[in-house]
Amino acid sequence: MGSTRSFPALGFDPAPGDIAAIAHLGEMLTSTAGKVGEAHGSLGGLKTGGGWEGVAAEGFHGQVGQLGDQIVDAHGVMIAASGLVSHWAGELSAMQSTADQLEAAAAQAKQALESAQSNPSLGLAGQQFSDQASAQAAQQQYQAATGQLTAAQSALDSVRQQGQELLSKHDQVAQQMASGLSQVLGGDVSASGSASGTLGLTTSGSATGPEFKDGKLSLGNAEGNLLLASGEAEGKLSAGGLDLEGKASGAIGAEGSAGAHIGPDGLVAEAEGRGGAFGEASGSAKYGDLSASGKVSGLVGAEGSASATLNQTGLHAQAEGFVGARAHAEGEANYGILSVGASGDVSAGADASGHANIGTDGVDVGGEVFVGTKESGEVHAEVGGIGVGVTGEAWQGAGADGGVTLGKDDQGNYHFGAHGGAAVEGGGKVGVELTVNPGKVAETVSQGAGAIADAVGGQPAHDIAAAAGNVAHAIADVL
Amino acid sequence: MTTAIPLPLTFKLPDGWQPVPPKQVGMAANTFVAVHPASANGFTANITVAEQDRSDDATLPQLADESVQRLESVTTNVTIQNRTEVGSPEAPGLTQILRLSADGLSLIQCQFFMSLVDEHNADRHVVVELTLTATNDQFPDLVGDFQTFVSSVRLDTGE
Repeated sequence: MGSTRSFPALGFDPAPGDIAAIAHLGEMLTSTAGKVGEAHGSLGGLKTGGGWEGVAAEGFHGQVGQLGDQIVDAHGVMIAASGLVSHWAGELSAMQSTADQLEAAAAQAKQALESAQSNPSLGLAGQQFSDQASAQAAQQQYQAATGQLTAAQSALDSVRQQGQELLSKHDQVAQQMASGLSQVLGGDVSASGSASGTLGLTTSGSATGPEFKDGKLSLGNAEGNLLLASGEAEGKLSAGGLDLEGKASGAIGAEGSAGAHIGPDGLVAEAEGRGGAFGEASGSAKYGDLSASGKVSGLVGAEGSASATLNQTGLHAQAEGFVGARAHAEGEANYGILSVGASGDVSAGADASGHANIGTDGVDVGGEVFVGTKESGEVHAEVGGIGVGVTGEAWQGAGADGGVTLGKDDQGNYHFGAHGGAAVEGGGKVGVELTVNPGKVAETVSQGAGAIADAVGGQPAHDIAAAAGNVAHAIADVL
Repeated sequence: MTTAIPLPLTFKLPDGWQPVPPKQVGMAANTFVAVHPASANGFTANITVAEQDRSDDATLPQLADESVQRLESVTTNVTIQNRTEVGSPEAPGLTQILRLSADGLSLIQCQFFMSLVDEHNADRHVVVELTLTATNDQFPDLVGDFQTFVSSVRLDTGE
C-alpha cells in the first residue's frame, strides 16, 4: 500500500495512505461478512436436515451448532472490522483534503518567499552612499525587503508546522485504527522472533502483525528459517484468539511458517514446513477452534502442509505430507471435533493427503496414505512392520473399531489368503494355482517356531535387546 | 492339495494382539497386520504377514538377504543376529533375527520365511513372510507370542 501524492512545497506527505485500497478493503470485509452470514443460514438448513438420528447425529448437530455460533462471531468481527476500516477511510480522506490545502498554501508561501528572496533591495546592505538622504532611503528599502523576507519565511514555516500537526494527527488516528482492529480480533497483538545456531548458519525467526497486503487483510504471519549447520529458529505471533507459530530446527535447511488472513476466499489459517536433511520444521495456525498444522522431520527432503478455510461454502480442511527418504511428514487441520490428518513415514517415497469439508453439500471426510516402495507397488512384511510400528498409535482407535473381526472364525482362527475375508480384500492373482502338501507346512512352521526359541534361548532375548541398545548408542555417537 | 494364489492360510493370534485393516496402516490389501497396543510406547509392536509369488529359483537365504537389503534402504545399522534354516525340500523355512534402527528407535525384527514349492513345478513357489517388529524393550515379552503365532500357521484347507 502506498501513496503517489506529491508535496514539493511542504516537503513531506502529512497524510499518507491509499484511500482506494482502504475503501476496497472495507468493501471486501463487508462482502465477506455477508457471505459468512449466508454460510450461517446454510448451516441452519444443515442442522435441520432430516433422516439422520442417533448419538453420532446428535454429536454432529451439536458441533454444527457450535460452528454456527463461531460463524456468528466471525460475522460480527468482519462487520466491526469493516466499520473501522470505513471510518479510517473517511478520516484519511478528510486529512488528505486538508493536506492538499496545506500544500497549496505552502506553495503560495514558498513563492512569496522566493519573491522576497529575490528583492534587489536586499543588495543595499553594506553599500556606501554620498549623502545622508540617500542612505536613509536605502535603509528604509532594505528594512522593507528583509521584513517581507521574514514574513514570507514565517508564513511558509507556519504552513509546514500545520502539516506536521496534521501528520501527528494522522499517526494518532492510524494507531487508534490498529488498536481498534486488535480489539476486534480479541486482544493485544504481540509478536516475537528469535534464532540461534552454530557453525556460521543462517537462521531467522520473525513474526508480523495485522496488515493489508496483496488484497487481503493478513491477520499475521510467523516464520522460522534455518540454513546450513545446526541450530533452531522460531517465530510466534498472538492476536487475541489468533495464535501463529513457525519453528525450524536441525541442520542443512529447514523452515516452518504459519499464517492467517481474511480475503475473498474467507478466513484462512495455513501452515507448512519443509526440511532438507536432519531437520524438523513445523508451523501452526489457530483461530478459535479453527486450526491447522504441518510438520516434517527426517532426512533428505520432506514437506508437510495443512490449511483450514472458513468461508461462504462452509469449513474446508486439508492436509498433505510428502517425504523423500527416511522421513516423517504430517499435516492436520481441525475444527472442533472435525479433524483431518495425514502422515507419511519411512522412505523411498511416502506421501499422504486428507481432507474434510462441511458445508451446504453435507459432510465429506477422506484421506489416503501411501507408505513404502511405490515403485514396485508391493509392500513386504519387514518394511511394512517398521511403518506400522512408527505410525501405530495414530490409528489404534480406528483399528479397534474396524479391524477386530477381520477374517476370524468361531474357533478363533484367522483366515488369510484366497479364502479369507476382509483381510484379503482386493486379493489379486486368484485363479493361479499351486499344489502343496499341507502336512509339510505344519512341520516347517513347527520347526520355525523352535528355531526362534533356540535363537532367543541361545542368547536370551534381553541380551539381544541389550546388544541392540549398544548399537543404537553407537549410531547416536556417529551422528 | 491344489489351491489358488495367494495361498489361503489360517492361524491364531495370541491374547493381546489385535488385527487392523492393512490399508489403514499403509500396507497392501493382501497382507495381514496385527498390533500389540498394550505395549505401545512410541512404537507399536506388530506382526505382519505377506506372500510373494516367485517363479525364479531364489533360495530362502537369498530371499532373506533381499529382506535385509530392503530394510537397509529404509532403516540404519541393520545387522543379522541369527539365521537358521528349517523345514523340508517341499516346504523349506528360514528364521532370521535382525537388529536395526529406525526413526530414532532401536528395533528387533524376527522374520520367518517359508517357501511352498509347487509339486508340479519346482521353479514355482510362494514365499510366506511372517514378521515380528518390536523395540528392544518390547521384544523379550513378545517373542514368545510370535513363536506361538508361527506354530499356529496352517494351510487353510477349508476344513
